[in-house]
Amino acid sequence: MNDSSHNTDHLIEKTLEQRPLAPLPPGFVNRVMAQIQGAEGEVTREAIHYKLELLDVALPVLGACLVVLALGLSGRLDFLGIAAPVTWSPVLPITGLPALTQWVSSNWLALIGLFVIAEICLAALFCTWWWLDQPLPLVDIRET
Amino acid sequence: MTQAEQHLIQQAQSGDKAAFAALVEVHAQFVYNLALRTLSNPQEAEDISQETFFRAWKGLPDFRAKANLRTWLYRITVNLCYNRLPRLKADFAALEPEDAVLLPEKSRTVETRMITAELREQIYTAVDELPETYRLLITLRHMDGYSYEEIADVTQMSLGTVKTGLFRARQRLRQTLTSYEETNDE
Repeated sequence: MNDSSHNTDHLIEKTLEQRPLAPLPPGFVNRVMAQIQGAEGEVTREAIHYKLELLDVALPVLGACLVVLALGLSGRLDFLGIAAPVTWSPVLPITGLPALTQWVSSNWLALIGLFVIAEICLAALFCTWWWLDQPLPLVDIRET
Repeated sequence: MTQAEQHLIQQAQSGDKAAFAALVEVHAQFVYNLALRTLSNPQEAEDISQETFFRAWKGLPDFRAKANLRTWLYRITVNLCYNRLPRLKADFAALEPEDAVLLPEKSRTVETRMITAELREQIYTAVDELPETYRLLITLRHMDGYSYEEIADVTQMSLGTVKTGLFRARQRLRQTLTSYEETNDE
């Protein structure tokens, strides 16, 4: 490389070193901090959300199991003739309650049936929601 | 890196957002200019700079306090530029290191011609018209005076690739400048 080239290189270097920096877009720092703040809020909400989901899934499943167990038991009692003959409802002799009429027992049956269906739907809904939510934290872990 | 900055980094690492905001204030303009000069798009440069600091905040607990924060930020920025412009990395890879490239750390001062405003603008325009790969190298080299090793570290390229890239970039700038001077002399 000859002197002329060195001179040109020096000129270029000197000029580029003196090149002024472009100004930052207004409010840039605030936007960065707001993004960080926003992301932290999301993380906190997600953590609470996760705990609630676990509980929300566990409780309906437990509730549904108990109701199904109670229905099975009462049906079994009814089948064995321990319950009052005119009603389906689980009225054990030990409770001393009077037997219910057919109409009331049908209502009870419908109500319990609806309750069971609602519990199962709720459990299925939360299970699906939980399962769909799972990949999100995994993506975050991969990125960091 | 100053002691004050080290202190700010330690505070930010323990979750102090005000300390991190102070670090953003110090480095944001450099990060933004690196992205701007590489991508030549103010909106994309802003997005990338914002994402750089967001990732820096998330990765700050793993940052070694003794390391150079700006170099680390530049590395994040360059990675984001690679993601945004996949051909940038491919262009780097295509730069075959030339054995004959012997770049001095600083060019010798032989004679200093007067740098007129017009000449300065001519050089800036010539740099802006270089391919992204060369613009990135030139910016790292001249905005912060990074050594070839530091540039290789930031761009995650070999030292040979960096030297070749800078050599070719300067060659192009020299050609532009020579033709500009010839035109002016006529």
